[in-house]
Amino acid sequence: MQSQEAPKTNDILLEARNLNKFYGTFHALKDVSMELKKGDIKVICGPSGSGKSTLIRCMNFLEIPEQGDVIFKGQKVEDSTKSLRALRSQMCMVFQSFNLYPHLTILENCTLAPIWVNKTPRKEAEEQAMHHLERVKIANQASKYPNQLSGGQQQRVAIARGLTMNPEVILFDEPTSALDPEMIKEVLDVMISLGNSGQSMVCVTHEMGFAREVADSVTFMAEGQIIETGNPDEFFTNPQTDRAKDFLSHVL
Amino acid sequence: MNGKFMSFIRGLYASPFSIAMTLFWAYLAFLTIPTVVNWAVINAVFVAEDGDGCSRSGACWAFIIARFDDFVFGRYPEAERWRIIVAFGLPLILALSSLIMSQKQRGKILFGSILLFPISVLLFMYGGVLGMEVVETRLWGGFALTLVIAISSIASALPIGILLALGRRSHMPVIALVSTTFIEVARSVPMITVLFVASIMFPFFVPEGVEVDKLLRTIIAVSLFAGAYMAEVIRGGLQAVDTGQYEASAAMGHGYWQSMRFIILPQALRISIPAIVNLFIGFFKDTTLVLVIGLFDLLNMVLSATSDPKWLGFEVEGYVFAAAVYFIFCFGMGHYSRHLEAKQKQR
Amino acid sequence: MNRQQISIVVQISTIVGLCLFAWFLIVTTKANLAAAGMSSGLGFLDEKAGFDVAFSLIEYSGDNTYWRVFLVGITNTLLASVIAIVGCTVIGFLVGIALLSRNPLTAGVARVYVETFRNVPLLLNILFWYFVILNLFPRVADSFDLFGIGFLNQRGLYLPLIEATPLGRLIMLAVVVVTSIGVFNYSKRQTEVTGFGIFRTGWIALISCTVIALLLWIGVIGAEVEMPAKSRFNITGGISIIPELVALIVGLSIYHGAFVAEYVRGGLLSVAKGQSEAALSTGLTDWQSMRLVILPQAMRVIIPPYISNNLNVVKNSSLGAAIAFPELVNIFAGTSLNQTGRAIEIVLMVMAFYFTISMLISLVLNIYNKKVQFNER
Repeated sequence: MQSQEAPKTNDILLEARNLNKFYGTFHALKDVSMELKKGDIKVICGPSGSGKSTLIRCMNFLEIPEQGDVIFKGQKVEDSTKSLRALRSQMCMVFQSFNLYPHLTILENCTLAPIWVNKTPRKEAEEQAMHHLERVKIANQASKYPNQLSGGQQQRVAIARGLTMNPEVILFDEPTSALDPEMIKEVLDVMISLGNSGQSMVCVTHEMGFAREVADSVTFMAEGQIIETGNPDEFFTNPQTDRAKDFLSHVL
Repeated sequence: MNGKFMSFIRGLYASPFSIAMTLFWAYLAFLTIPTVVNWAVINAVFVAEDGDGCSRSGACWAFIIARFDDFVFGRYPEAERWRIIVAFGLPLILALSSLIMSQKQRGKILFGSILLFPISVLLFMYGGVLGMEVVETRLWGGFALTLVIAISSIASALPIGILLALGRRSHMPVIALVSTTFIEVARSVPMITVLFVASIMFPFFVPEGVEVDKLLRTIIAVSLFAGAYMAEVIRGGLQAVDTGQYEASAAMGHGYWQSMRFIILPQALRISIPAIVNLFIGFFKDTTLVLVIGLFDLLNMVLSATSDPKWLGFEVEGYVFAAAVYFIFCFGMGHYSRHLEAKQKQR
Repeated sequence: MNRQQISIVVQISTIVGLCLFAWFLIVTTKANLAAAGMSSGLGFLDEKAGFDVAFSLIEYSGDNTYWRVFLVGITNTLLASVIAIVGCTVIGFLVGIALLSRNPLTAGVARVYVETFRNVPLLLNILFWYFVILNLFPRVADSFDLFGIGFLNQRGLYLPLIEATPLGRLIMLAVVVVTSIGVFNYSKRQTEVTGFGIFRTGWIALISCTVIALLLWIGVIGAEVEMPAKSRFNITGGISIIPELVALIVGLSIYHGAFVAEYVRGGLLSVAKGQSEAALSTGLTDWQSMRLVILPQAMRVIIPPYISNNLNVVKNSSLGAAIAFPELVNIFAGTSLNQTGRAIEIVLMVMAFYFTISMLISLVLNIYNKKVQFNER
């Protein structure tokens, strides 16, 4: 569904190389590396405090890693306005707490970045936004304000907001953790249909059902390190490490 | 600590704009700090007989030191100044003694020391009892006067404010209307006009032959004025008390005054304490306005001292000294109020 | 008695009590006035004032009436307040943003500014600036020449007086109208394209002032320019801005700027961190995220205390009386009252003026709050 660009010699879309991140003296990421191919869906799981959110926030440079590189489409990401703009306009992020703009309507939430970052004319931006809102089945609420919607609806709007930038990658940071149980499914359904359409995604999530259904690989993190990575079937049925076994016994 | 220091250093050169700002501030510091230090410390004169003993290139702190007692006590007779210390000391000792009391008694003792303050000021500063001569209020002045006006006004504003706040929230339309009107009118006019009312208009309002002391008139007027502000602060506290508390006290069969006295007001006042401290800071600063009606508070004492023929031309020192005194008190109290607020939020 | 009866009794006795109190005041006041041989009423407003004021926006001389003095006082109060409001807004927003700067020196300097001026009485502040101006500025004889268009000395700031011819005024009006139409159209187009308008009043003021100044410069607008001229003891002609006004405005702006800075900081901090993260993660720049996402939300928190701050500026402009700036309290509740002795009438008129301003500002605040609530739902 997304604009498929000309195939590249190097089909690695996003790569993290030896990332290290400190909060004061706390070592949040210890030499973490991972890569994402075009069309891949990667799920990152692990206990809280394991550094999984920090990892994907570093990929978007919302947190700036002290050491290591993020490479996006073969280009090293620099901490400069130009480089970050290039990175972020092609990569969107869905947050645990939605972070919709409360002072703007649903439609305006979805047109802000296309108009200001991509300089899309307003009419066109609105048409595209409505298209994406329809994809997440919320187009009829377009003129409402975020606080008039339920959590699940807000999260779907947040996904639509990301889609309006036609991103190469979507980063999901625990998108269902703040939701009531009955709303989780509606968000997961949207995510699954996105995955089936070939969208590249990195998802930090505990929704193992989702991981089994669409993920190409599952990465397990603990204490700032990647403990193991494998395809979902193997990971869930036969985890290699004790820590992963222990974690799965608590989650599943 | 190390991490904090590192992020401090990193902030200095985080972006080109940040580097430019760092350079700008460094240049500004280079320009100003030596001048200020030279003036205030290195070239300053601390001991001198009169203005001639001071140099023009440095501050003349000798002037402040020479007149310091007057800045504190005003024109109060020198032989009687111990009475001011006693008048302020008694309530202060009582207030400090609350620190060693239990939490439960502390509030009551603090409240008591505030009530004791006007009584002890009247007894010792005014005198006329226990063989102490009467010292007319026109001789009162300096920082002592500033404190007398500020503390007495806020202390009497508290009950006025409570009544007005309850009145404004009353279900009786007449009471609510009267309270609201008073609060809104008082809050909309500048304090200077209230002082004019007290000093110029008041004599017209009382029957001939009745004379009320000018200082007392001022304190009454400022109390009523501050009461309106206090009412809004306390109303905020009353609104912050959980509605469940009102319902619970009503359900237990308490009448209006009982539930206010024992359940609602104690909670509302506790919530309001930081705001009351802030209000006090505001009125403490505003006491300087009494100079327009000819009372000699700290600022007015300092200003009049600058025209002392022995010490001419040291206005800047005077302003700096007065500003420093107000700053120390207001900053200290503001800090305390923020500390209380933070403590309340933790609960 | 049941509760309803108690309520009625309490209310009736309140009314009776207040009436008795008012009656007592009126009777004693009347007796006092009669004893002093004074009359009451507003008749004195038609009498000749007979004193001069140092500064007035409207025409005034000693031959005018006390009513005119009242008007002069009001215009001077409003003039000082409006300029001070602009001043403290500019200072407040700059310092408020500086308080949150990532450069620790900038944040530190801003913090020192805020703490210093919040904790020192406004009156001291104003008196200090007045003193500085009177002492550090040159005497009249050594007036400081401002690039040939004006003078600065202890008596104030002297600038050219520009009196446009009728045709010139028409041209100026036309410039403003054309600019307004242009700016409104541009803003409308911007809104269509981006969904966000621009700061119209600011642009209109900026563009029209520049164009008018330019036209004056090249002489298209016929105007008589009266340059201030220096003689040995005085400076004549032009318009003069007296040091009292400057000191009052500087003092008010600096003092209230410190408060506005805290409101701005609080408002910016009240916007959740996730908001700027969300904005940045979609590729908006720091500045765009500030303007489109953070500020609109922060403004809702900043505006209400900011509006009350402006009321305080108007009230505190009365401190001008302490340095003899001819504002309402000084020339009306001061000089006029001393001359006529009509204390009650005059103080009530002054209070009524401030009360009206206060009500107007509350009205603005209420309208704003309603609008914001409406927008969110």
